Amino acid sequence: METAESWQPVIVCFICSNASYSPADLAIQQHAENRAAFRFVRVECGRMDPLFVLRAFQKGADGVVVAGCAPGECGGSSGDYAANRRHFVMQKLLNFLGLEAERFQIIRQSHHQSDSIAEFLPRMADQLHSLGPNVKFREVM
Amino acid sequence: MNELTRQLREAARDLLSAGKVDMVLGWEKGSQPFLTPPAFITKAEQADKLCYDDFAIHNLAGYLLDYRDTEYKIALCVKGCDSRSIIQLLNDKQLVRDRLYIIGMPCQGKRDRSFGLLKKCRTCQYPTPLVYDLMLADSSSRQFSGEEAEDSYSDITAFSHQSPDDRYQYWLEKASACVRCFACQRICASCNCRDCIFESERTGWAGRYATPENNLSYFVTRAMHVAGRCTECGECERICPAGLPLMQLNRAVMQAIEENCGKYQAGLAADAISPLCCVPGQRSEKSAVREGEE
Repeated sequence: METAESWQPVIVCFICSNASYSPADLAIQQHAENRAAFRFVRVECGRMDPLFVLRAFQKGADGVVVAGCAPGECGGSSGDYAANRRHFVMQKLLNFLGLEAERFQIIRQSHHQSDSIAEFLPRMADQLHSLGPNVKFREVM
Repeated sequence: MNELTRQLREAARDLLSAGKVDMVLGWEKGSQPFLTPPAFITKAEQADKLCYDDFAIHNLAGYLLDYRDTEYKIALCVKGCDSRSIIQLLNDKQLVRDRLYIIGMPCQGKRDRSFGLLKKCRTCQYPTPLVYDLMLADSSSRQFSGEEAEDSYSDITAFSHQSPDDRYQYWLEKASACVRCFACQRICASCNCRDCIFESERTGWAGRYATPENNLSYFVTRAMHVAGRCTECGECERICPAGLPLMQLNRAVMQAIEENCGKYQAGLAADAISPLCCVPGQRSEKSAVREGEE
């Protein structure tokens, strides 16, 4: 039986393998293993569809992260510019519909600076701890 | 019969009898004074059915998608707001301009069944079609233009100031009225996927049960799929049998686009690129590469 103390937020991380995957993996092993249940999905940020995010929330995620590369460092040629804009619009729309801003976040990870995502993921876990479990967009069967 | 209707019938008759087009898409008078539904005219002798009045609300651009795989040449009547849908469809490469003949209709603002001016007409910015082959004009060609709204997104901003839980409750309540008839998707000219994810055989992505939560995710997905391509014709909201405020979502998306990418309105200029698809300045580079390959 899950108690309030043992509850851990489920964070689905859509992570691009080009820059963010290894630092994120490392960060979780070192700092954040016990703070949240991280679920990694390796996917390029330009491939992200609104349905991926919604499906994660429907199936039980408490938070969703989209991690792409810093502007100009995309492993593809230029998909990250448009992708970044789409994620921003998606974030605004979900926020408009009542999802807390902390629950869907975007981070742009630079190749040269492996610590930004390492700080980001534990911080997000803490934010979700204070928000509590997510019920919005949850699929009710 | 008003002057514009007479001109429209004449133009349709000429086009059909000369064999320039296979079909004229216009409006006809319905069973009630406040109904002017779409008409599909294929023979010159049917041209007298056509009618244009203050109740010709329908945006006919969406119907063109039913004919995108055919060889039909279609003449189509457009009002100012509809012409933006046409431009957007051409930009999306859904239509071939050569197979279209666009009849521009002047518009004095359309009225709903209570004879009041439609909400979207009150702040109309483009009463004159932006693209046409033939422009009809009546003698009393007074220029209609909506009042200039000071902040067009004021209602969206006001709603955003409510607490997240209130917002979610509001939308959940709205979504529980949705019956998933997909009328909003069928009527929308920007919703032009050949195989809609919500209607396709593939399961696992979009929940099929019409629960409020699933409906909400349908709204979000649809709003995101037409993001940057919605031309604010307001057809989705008009056609919704549950009376849902769907344009609020589209306008929230537009506000977010404006906030992040600068001022952009879909369907204004031919060959404009949506800021969500491409970054300005990039296109020339890419097309140059593509041309080099060829």
